[in-house]
Amino acid sequence: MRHWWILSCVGALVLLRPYVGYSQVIYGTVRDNTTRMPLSGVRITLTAAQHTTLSRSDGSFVIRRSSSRTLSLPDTLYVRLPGYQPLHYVVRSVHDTLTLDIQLHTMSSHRRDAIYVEDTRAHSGSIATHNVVLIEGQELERSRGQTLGEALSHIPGIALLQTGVSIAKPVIRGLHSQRVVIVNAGVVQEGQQWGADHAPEIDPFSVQRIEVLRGAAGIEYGQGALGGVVRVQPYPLPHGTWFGGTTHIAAFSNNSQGAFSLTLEGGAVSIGEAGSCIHTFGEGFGWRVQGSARKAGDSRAPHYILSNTGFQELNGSLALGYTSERFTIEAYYALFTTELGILRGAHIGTLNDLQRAIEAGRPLVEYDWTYSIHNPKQQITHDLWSVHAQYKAPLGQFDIQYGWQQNNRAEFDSHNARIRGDSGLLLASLNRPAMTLQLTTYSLDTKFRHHAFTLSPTSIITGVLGASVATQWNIQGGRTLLIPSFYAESAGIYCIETLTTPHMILNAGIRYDIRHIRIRGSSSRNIPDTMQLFSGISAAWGVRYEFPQPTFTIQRSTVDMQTDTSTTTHDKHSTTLALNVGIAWRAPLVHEQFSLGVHHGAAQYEIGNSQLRPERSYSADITLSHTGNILRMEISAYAHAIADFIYSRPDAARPTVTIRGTFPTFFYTQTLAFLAGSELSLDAVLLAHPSNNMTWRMGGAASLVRGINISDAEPLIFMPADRMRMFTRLELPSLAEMTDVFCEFSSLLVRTQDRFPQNVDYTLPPHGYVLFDVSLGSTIHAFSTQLTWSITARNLLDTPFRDYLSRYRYFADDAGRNIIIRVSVPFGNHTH
Amino acid sequence: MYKAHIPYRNTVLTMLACCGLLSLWGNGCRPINSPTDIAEEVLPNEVTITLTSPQGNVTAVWRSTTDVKGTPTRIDTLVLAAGRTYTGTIKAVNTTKNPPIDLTAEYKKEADKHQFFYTVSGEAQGRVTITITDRDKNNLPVGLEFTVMTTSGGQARGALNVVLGHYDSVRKTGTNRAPESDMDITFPLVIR
Repeated sequence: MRHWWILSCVGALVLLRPYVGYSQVIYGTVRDNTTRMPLSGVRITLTAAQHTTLSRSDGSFVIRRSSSRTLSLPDTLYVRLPGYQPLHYVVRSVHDTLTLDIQLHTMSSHRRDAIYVEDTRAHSGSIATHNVVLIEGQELERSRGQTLGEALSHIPGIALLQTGVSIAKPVIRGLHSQRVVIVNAGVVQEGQQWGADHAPEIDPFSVQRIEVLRGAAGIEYGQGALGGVVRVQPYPLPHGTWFGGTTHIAAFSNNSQGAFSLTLEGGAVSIGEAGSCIHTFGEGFGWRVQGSARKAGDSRAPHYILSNTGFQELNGSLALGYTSERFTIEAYYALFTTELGILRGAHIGTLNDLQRAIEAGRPLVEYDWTYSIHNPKQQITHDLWSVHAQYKAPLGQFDIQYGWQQNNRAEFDSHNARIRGDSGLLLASLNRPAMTLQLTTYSLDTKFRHHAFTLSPTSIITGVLGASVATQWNIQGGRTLLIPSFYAESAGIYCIETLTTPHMILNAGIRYDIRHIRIRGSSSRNIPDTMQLFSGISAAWGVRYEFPQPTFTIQRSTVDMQTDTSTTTHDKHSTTLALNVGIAWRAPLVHEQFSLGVHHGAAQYEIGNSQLRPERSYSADITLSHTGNILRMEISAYAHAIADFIYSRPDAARPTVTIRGTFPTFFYTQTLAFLAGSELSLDAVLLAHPSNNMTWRMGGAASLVRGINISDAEPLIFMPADRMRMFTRLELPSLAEMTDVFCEFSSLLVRTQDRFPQNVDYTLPPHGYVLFDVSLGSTIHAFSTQLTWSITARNLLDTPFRDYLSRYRYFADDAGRNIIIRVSVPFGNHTH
Repeated sequence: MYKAHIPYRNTVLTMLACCGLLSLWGNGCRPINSPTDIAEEVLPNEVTITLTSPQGNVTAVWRSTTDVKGTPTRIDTLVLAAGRTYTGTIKAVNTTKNPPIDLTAEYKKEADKHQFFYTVSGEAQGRVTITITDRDKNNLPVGLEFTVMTTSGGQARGALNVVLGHYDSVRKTGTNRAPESDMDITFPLVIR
């Protein structure tokens, strides 16, 4: 079938008279917007109907009503091909036949706007009514070469818990670590997340898309997802006749860091003339190989060097997949390895050492700048295997995801071993880790998305039934006992149903989880062998309402197809209100139950509590968002009560006297905690020049979190300080040989945290600060390729500052000015 | 409707099998360390100060149940006579191990990496002078050997704080305090 004659139509909305005809067909062709070559292997998904098809070698595709399936509208059509900007159409109605001429723009030729909130109609499941923050494309590029946490730091409601520049983990609405779930390529990341200085072990270069769900999401991710979910995804594999890749290079002035990444990917190989393809090998197959390296020396604060804060990272990933109309299978392997130094001046022995370090106001240890990493340091490797298979049965779509991962963490102390014998033995012992932790996790997740049930011509019900099982064990080695070894098994089942009508999505889900844990006792620590069983129910309910908009009826032949929801046209306005409530829970973790002792650098003596009960969370969240031509805005407010919130409470009356001095004692205990807050983000076009399309935009994002320990009537400790980011940006679609030219000036304003429990912390929260960033970049079209570059100056004025959530704030300022140069070059060809 | 034919059905099966095998390899070929290496870090749990003088000797012991994580079970009071000069030594032992580990030898061997600091507080402050007499290879004080001089006068109470500085991140100068300390204990003190 050839559809070259079909009239072109370009537009995000296809607004036609509602009509459910007997012969509903969507025809289309997909082509490259510049070369006009037909693209094969493009994945076209009608999301609510869960129907995916691939374009053929002439670029054509057909989606047709079948006996088992009505095209239930509205529905979202996703069009994706690696190397190209994905498209997203809302199909309101189909009048007999709908014909689309889809033109894909190559990835680098279209810059992404600042963080935007995607209409999540496309997702079924509990997130359908949540406003999910999506980071990809240009927005992701601006944090390339930095940690995953850095990529999330611009999202309102997210702060970073940082240990220098190499360790950063997201704090979502005041919660972090064991209360946030990170999903890497479909598998829940299982590292030693509980430690404040343990960052997610994910190569930021392997990530092409980050989805962040703020707030409890216990239904699909089980116990633990109280604070939120961060899903990181590589792009779908290419399945067309494609071979290509991307190179990224980044250089950082502050710590003399270099970062490099190379991605190669490909699909089928065709032999023959374009347009009259003779033979295609490996149709349906796709593969990707990716590797990256980062190396950095000591960071520099404005007035001194942060000694021993260098790091080196070497990562790689491998993916292979096969897709046919009904069946998809993908295997993925990722390796993450890092070695990172811990600020030398932050390594202390006694409480008095800490007090002296705070009084000094700057690190007591400072060496000459170097790339070398000495003790104390951490070495981490994380291996992840996953196999994902998907089968479209007549009744619906089956998904099965198997994951195996192993996290090896070794922490080297600067000195803690006293070995009898010669000093050679002592030296040898320093080259062995003081502590090793090996966490191995197997997981199996199965999902069945049933086909949409049609209630009326405009409303459908979709749903997911899922079950997951996992086993996990942790083996502790080394000379320092931090947490005992354990073996855990967990299982969960869930069900989510979603009702979609033209203006409303209603969503309800329920889940049951069970977790069994066996803890290996330790005679020297007075820990008996322990067996524990936790179980609980999570539930969520949500509604998302889209306010009716004045609609434009546009003839099919002249529909102006916009390429994405984020780019706006004169007829695109959307205002939605979403409300979500949920209950979730989390079992206590081993370190909360069995900690005993001083973790170096913390200078507090922590005592676990084996009698802890699971945390139970009750949350409500409301979001109003508007996406329009001139203005994009989102306001959210939330309230979150956590019963039996686990935290460590200082006991001033019972300090712990040890040979290393007297430490404040902290007991793990439980309280009723209440968190509430609000986020606001705004992005407005102030000026749009009619002739050269120059636009001047301004915007900002602000977030507030308040945490209260209700039982003790005091604020929760370590809540992110109020913060606001503002930006102004000038954009020029083209200039000489360049496209997407931009210049951005932004500032981050952070208030002093004045809500904190009295007499717990060693020092007052640091003062608020203001930082300025400036950034400049474009895409250069030369040498038959497209080179995207940017130069960014972070902390332009080299302002000394300390963030309340920086773990080095007792010892040193955060890093100073950083000038970053980034270059990325995509390459590739259709192998016709 | 366009029907995608699956021309490589066998390939699919082969790939499935490969994936299965690969994941098995992932599980099977990883050595899982056995937790045989577990041993607590070795730090002293018993510190003894011995003061000798022709007129009589004084001994005070600071002891905790286990090493660094233990709670003190015995803290003696140093009872000093007024107007007297003592020759002192300090000894640190880990008695939780069998046989006990004498860490004093370690400090002596790494004398250039260690220094003891003796600080008297309370009423006795100013009445007691402690002078370190031993030297490391750089001729800097160590503090395993010292003299204690008390001035004559009435009874006074106070405390003696003993800190062992560990210099592997900064150079020892003889007067600087190390950013990291291995020991920080306090004995009650009385001058009679």
